[in-house]
Amino acid sequence: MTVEPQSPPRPDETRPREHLANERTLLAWARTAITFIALGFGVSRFDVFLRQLRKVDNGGGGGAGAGFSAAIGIVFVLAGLLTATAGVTRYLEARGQIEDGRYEPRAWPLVVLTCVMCAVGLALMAYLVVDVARS
Amino acid sequence: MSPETGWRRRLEIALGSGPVPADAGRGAGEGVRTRDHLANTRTFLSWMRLALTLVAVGYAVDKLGVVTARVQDRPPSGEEGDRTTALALVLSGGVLANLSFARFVLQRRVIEGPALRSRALLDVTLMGIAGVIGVIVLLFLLRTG
Repeated sequence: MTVEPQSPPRPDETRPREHLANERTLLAWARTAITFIALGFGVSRFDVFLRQLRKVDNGGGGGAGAGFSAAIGIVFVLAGLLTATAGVTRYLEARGQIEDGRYEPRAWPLVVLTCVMCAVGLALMAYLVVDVARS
Repeated sequence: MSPETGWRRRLEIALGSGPVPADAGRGAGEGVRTRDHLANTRTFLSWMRLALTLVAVGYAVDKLGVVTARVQDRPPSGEEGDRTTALALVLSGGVLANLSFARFVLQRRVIEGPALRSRALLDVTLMGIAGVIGVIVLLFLLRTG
């Protein structure tokens, strides 16, 4: 029995499922981006609360670390936006490749996300260390 | 060095940016190959969200310690413990992110090859990291009461 070599352009019956898989992948990107954004929002808002606590404790003084925590929140939200952009770009790229019948498993969006994740992690660690030095 | 064997080509293969060989896939057709790759991407993204969750738990462990101390009417002591646990959690989030990228690259190579294999050992290792985190948090909770 001979296996047909990469059957000519397209056995069309699987294309809808490929596009749906691509869409699910886009949704997975969206969930990841939203997680970043929600975390950024949580970090910056919770920090407002903590600073308020500290202010009450110190009788109106204190409130250190305001600028830095705002920056951390922004870093998280930017990470989310970058993730969403990478996901959408890759989605559109993959869509064309599915139509052409030749999917190319590109890793660049995942490289971007891994780098973003490392940057965010390092930033948060720096924040946690610096914050204790101030309080 | 010829472009076929040079570092550039090897990097291309590793990152999947080079030309796709004509016989890529496990012989079940282009549609299956495409869906394999897309599923691999989604799996990576799921691992990534787990890593992000670890980072979030790290932040919570660090910052909620202050609130807990106030609720229990005691000075926010034991902060050093909070900090170490928090940093460990955030760090493991980063490690997990990198490992899941490695898993993605390995699995992709497997998809392009003739036989699909499940990477159970690697996946269990990744889960092990999450398990270690659970133990760390448990110890932390037991210690701080």
